[in-house]
Amino acid sequence: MDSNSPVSPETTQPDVALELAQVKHELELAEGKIMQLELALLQSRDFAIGAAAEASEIPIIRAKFQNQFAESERQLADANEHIKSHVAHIARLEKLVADLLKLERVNKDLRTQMNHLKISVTWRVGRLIMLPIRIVKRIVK
Amino acid sequence: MQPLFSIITPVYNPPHDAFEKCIESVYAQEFTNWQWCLVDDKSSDPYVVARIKELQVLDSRVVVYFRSENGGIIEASNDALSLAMGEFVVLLDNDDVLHADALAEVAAQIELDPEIDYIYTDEDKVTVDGRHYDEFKKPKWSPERLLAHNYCSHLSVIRRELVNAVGRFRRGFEGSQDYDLILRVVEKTSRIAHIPKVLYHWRSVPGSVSIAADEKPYAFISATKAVTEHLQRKNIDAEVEEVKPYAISRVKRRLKQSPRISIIIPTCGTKKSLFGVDTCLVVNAVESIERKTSYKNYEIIVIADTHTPPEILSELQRVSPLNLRIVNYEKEFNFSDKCNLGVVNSDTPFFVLLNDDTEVISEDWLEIMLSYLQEPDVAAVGPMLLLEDGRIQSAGHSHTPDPHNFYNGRSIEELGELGILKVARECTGVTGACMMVRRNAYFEVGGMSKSFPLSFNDVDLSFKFLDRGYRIIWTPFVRLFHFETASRPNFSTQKEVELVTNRWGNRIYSDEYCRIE
Repeated sequence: MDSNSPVSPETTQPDVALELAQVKHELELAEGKIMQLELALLQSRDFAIGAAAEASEIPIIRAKFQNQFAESERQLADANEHIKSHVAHIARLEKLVADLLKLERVNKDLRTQMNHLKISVTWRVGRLIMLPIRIVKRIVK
Repeated sequence: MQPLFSIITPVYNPPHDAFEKCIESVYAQEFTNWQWCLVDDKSSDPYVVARIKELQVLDSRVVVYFRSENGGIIEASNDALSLAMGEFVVLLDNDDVLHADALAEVAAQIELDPEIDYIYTDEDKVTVDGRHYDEFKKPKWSPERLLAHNYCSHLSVIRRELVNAVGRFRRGFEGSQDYDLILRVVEKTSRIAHIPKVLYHWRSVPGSVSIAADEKPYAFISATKAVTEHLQRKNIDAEVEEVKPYAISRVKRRLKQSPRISIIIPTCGTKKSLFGVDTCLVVNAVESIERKTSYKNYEIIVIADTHTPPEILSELQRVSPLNLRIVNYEKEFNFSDKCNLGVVNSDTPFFVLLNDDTEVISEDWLEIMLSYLQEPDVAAVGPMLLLEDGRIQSAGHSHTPDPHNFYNGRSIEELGELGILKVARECTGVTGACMMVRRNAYFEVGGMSKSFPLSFNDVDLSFKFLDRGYRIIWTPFVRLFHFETASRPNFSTQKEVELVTNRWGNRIYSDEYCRIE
């Protein structure tokens, strides 16, 4: 419609009302669109800021893991040292046990020899000869 | 190059033991590039005078001035400042004790940032028999909290040039002369650092402010005066009130304008028994807003799920016929998305995100929260939230040792460590159940993240604000009920936990504002 052309009030009012309704509708659509865009904007910014935050966390996390790794390595080295000293200790103990067993064998042999000696005639005769002296000793005690 | 520290100590008849401990602590410093400016304020105790003379003779680093008449701590401190040659002044009272690493730690901080102007550290108290107690784990630089009380206090190390530039200690602020000085210093610089280590031991002897603030009422009067003048110099229109009986100040900023505020309430029309009565939560929340709110320029935007019963929507219209708008939410539940939808449906410069399971208690809740947002670097403000039985639901967020609502389940009557529950303060975050937000800041950080449909959306939003340099304020002077998780399940998904850790893992388990476990 030519805005400069003369029009009568009867024909104009419904047209204007219609136009107003159309404009209002378009405005509502535009407002809806703006809201959608604002929501999209919020989401984009959140995504960007979130991604930046995650990115800035990565070096810190990496450093933390590196520290943890270094600490774990140190603990592993400590544990290895500990195991080594344990193994050495076990070896020492095993040697001691072997020595002990050897001594036990010697002891057993000596005990056998002694038992043999104790049941020999010489030993028995000797004890018989020494009997009075043992009695006197007991009385004195 | 190592800085030279000038230790400023006005002396007036200190207890002998305490003075000796003080001397011992200065000589025990690992860092040795110091100068000790001792000013005797006409002590009547000959032991003290003799001891100061002895120190002067024994060590060239000790510079001494004997006043001809007793002038009080301010005059004596200013005389000590006149003796100072160092780049930094270290404030030490004549009966207190420095930690052996105090100067070394401060020097290390200066090495990190050579432009630094003011450094403060944690402190504790020490009894006459040497027992340490009341360790004060201070927050990082917290200007709002500084208006409530001198939380920086000891140990304070200030660039000497700046101390001279602001006019040194001022008469008329007896008992709070340090506080007044710090307030004037922080007006001139933003280069402030906190060392989170106890480097100062405050001697608690009868009559010392360290035992109880109310032992020196004149000190609190001076403190109020110092804060009032500080606000005037900063052109902040406010009045300073005492929070009785704690000797803590409350700053009440007057509103410059009364902009329209949108109150955004996501809901699905849940009902629950509140105070023994079956209640529709959102209707109760809106009704409490309408009944209690003294601020008149507001609108309520309810974001309602499509399955919200129509009779509830009608009830809402009845309860708030003039101020309320209902926006339908037609998607799967996502709390963040619902909040964002509410925000884009409003156009006010400030808005409140409010859960439907809340109820307003304080009539001036909007005025008070808005008053903090008059400071342009404040992005969000949160109130004290209470459970149905009156215990605390949230006094802001805390991340020590992990994310939680600070003081949850504790009594509202508690003072909290060094008054933390009675002061407005900066914090790492406030709960999304009720927060007033600056619209520009919200848009700048991308609002509530849709990646957090259930939980941690407020934690994430708060970190985004902090990351952009904004402050978040929690205030005890606004109270609302929060009938926690009455309207939705109380759990977070594994995905949310992972995401919030991926984004903010470095900060989420160490809260610099709230270091109390």
